[in-house]
Amino acid sequence: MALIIKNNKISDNIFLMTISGCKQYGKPGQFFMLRPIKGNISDPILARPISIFDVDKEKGNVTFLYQVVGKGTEILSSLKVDDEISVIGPLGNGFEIEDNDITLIGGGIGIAPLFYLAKEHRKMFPNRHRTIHLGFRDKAILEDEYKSICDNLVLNIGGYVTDDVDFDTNNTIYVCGPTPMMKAASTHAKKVNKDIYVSLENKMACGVGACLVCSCKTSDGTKKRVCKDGPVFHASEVFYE
Amino acid sequence: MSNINHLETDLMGIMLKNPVIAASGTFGFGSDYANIIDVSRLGGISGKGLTLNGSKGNDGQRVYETPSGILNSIGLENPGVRHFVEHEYEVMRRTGAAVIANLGGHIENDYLEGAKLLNKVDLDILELNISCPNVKNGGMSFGMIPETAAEITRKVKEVSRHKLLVKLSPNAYDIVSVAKACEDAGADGISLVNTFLGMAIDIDKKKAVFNNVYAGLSGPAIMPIALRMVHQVSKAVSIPVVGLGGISNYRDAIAFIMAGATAVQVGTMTFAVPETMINIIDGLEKYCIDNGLENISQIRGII
Ligand SMILES: Cc1cc2nc3c(=O)[nH]c(=O)nc-3n(C[C@H](O)[C@H](O)[C@H](O)COP(=O)(O)OP(=O)(O)OC[C@H]3O[C@@H](n4cnc5c(N)ncnc54)[C@H](O)[C@@H]3O)c2cc1C
Ligand SMILES: Cc1cc2nc3c(=O)[nH]c(=O)nc-3n(C[C@H](O)[C@H](O)[C@H](O)COP(=O)(O)O)c2cc1C
Ligand code: FES
Repeated sequence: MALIIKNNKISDNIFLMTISGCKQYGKPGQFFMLRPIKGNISDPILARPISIFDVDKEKGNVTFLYQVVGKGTEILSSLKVDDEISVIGPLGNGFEIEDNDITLIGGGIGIAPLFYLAKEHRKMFPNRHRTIHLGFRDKAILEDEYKSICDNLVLNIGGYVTDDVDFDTNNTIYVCGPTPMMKAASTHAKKVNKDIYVSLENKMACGVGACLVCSCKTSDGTKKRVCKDGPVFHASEVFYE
Repeated sequence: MSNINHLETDLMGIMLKNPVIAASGTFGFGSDYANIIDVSRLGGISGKGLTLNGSKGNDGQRVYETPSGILNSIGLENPGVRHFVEHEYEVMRRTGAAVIANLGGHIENDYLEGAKLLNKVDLDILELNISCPNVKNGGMSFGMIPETAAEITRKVKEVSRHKLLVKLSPNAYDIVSVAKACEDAGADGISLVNTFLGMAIDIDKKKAVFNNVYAGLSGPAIMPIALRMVHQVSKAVSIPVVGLGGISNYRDAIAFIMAGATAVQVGTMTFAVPETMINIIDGLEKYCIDNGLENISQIRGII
C-alpha cells in the first residue's frame, strides 16, 4: 500500500503521479502494478502496469507518467492527494545501464521509462554522452525535464521519430513506444548491425510471471513472459525472424 | 498464530494446514509470488496446467476484462510434464504448501503418459483437468458428458499412484451426472469450477477479441453459479469436493464450505490483490474463534 503525494495533469490526458511508501524503488525500465483501492474492488479487477518515471530515494518517492486511455487509467487520474493506492513492485528486468554513450528513442507515453534511465546513466557515467529523441503526435511534454538530463534532445512532432535517428553509431540504443515504432527502429538498427533494446507493453494480469497472459513469441520460437523475463529485450530476441 | 487446529483439513486423506489452495494457471509453479506473499502459509498450490509435451499456448490477445471478471485464452501454455518433473516439482515442494499437479491433454494418451511420468515425483494430489475451454479438440471435451469423463478418470486412476482430484467444467450439459460418473470411476475428489465459456467482440475492429473466438470467464462474476454447482455436486457425491470460482474474501470461502466444499481454491482475485489467500486464511481463523468452532469442517455442508 502506498500514499498519493501528487497526481497532476500536465497535458491533455497526461498525468504525473508521485507516491510514497514503496518498500523498494526499483531501477530504470522496471514497472509497478498499480490499482486504486477506492470504491468497488472488482471493477476493473486487474492492476495496471506503469513504468517508473523517476525515483527520489531521499524522500522515498516514486513518480509515474501516465496517459488516460481507458477505465483503469481514468480511475488512477481521479485519485487525490492522501488517497491510498495498492502497488505491486518493482517488477520486471529493467534496462542494463552500460558504460557507453547512449541514444534513447521515445514515442508518445513511451517516453516514460527513459527519464529515469537517462538520469541513472548520467549519475553512473557522467562523462558519457546522452542523445534523446522524443516523438509526439501533436504536442511535446516535459521537454525541459528531458533536456536537463540529456546532452542532446531532438524533438519530432507529427512525423516519424525514427527518421531523425542516426542508427549507425556505437551508442547503445534504447527504444520505448508504440510497437510499430519499436519495430521500425529495430529494423533500422539491424540493417547497420547495431544493438538496440526495446521495452514491450503487452497486456498483463498478474505482472509477476504466474499467469502467462503477457507471453510473447521470441525469435527462437519459444515464449517469454514480458512481465518477468522483460519488459526489456534485445530486439533480436523478440522482433527479428 | 495457532491456526493449526482450526483450519487443518483432511482432503482425500492428505492433510492440509488450511483449506485454501492457489488455483491452477493463476499461480505459476508457486515461486512467482514468493517475493510478494508468504507462500508457505497456503494450504496447497495447484500448478499451471501441464500437457505431456508442453505447449506454446494461444496467439493473440489472452485476457479481456469484463464487469467483475476476466476472460482468458492462455491455451495451456506450459513447459511439459517432463520439465515439471525435473525442474518445477522441487521448487513447488520447497514452498511448504501441498503440491498439486494439474494435468490436461488433447487425446487420451497424453493424459495416460503424463500421469505415468508424474508417478516419478511425490505429489500430494494429481488434479485432472478435463475442463480447459481454451484448447481445440481437447481438455474440456472429456468433461462435457459423463461417459468420457468416467472413462478418462478410470484409466488415469489405473496408471497413477496419486490421489486423483478431477476438475470439472461448468460448461458440461449436466455437471452433477459428470461428477457422479467420475466418483463411480474412482475419483478421490472433485474440484469445480473451471472457467465458463464466454466471448468478447471488438466492435471497432469488427472482430472477435480472441483468436479462438471463445474464452474462459472467471472472477467474482461467476461466483453465484459456481456456488450453486458446488452445492449440487456436494449433495450428489460422497467424495470430497473442492470449490472455486470467483472467491475474493473469507466470506466467499465460507459460503463455499457451507455449500459442501472441503477446501477452496482462489484464482483471479490473486491477480487483483496478491494477499487474497492470506487474508482468507486469517479470516477463516477469526471466524472459527468468533463462532466457537474447533475446526472449520464443522460448518461444511450445513446448507
Ligand atoms: C511494462 C509496461 C509499462 C507501462 N508503462 C506505462 C507508463 O509508464 N505510462 C502509461 O501511460 N502507460 C504505460 N503502460 C501501458 C498501460 O499499462 C496501459 O495504458 C493501461 O494498462 C491501460 O489501462 P486502461 O484501463 O486505462 O485501458 P483499457 O481500458 O485497458 O484499454 C484502453 C485502450 O488502451 C489499450 N491498451 C490497454 N493496455 C495496453 C497496453 N499494455 N499497451 C498498449 N495499449 C494498451 C487498449 O487496447 C485500449 O485500446 C505500460 C504497460 C506495460 C506492459
Ligand atoms: C489466466 C488463467 C489461467 C488458467 N489456467 C488453468 C489451467 O492451466 N488449468 C486449470 O485447470 N484451470 C486453469 N484456470 C482456471 C482456474 O484454475 C479456475 O478454475 C477459474 O479461474 C475459476 O476460479 P477464479 O474465479 O477464482 O479464478 C485458469 C484461469 C485463469 C484466469
Ligand atoms: S502478466 Fe502474468 S505472467 Fe506476465
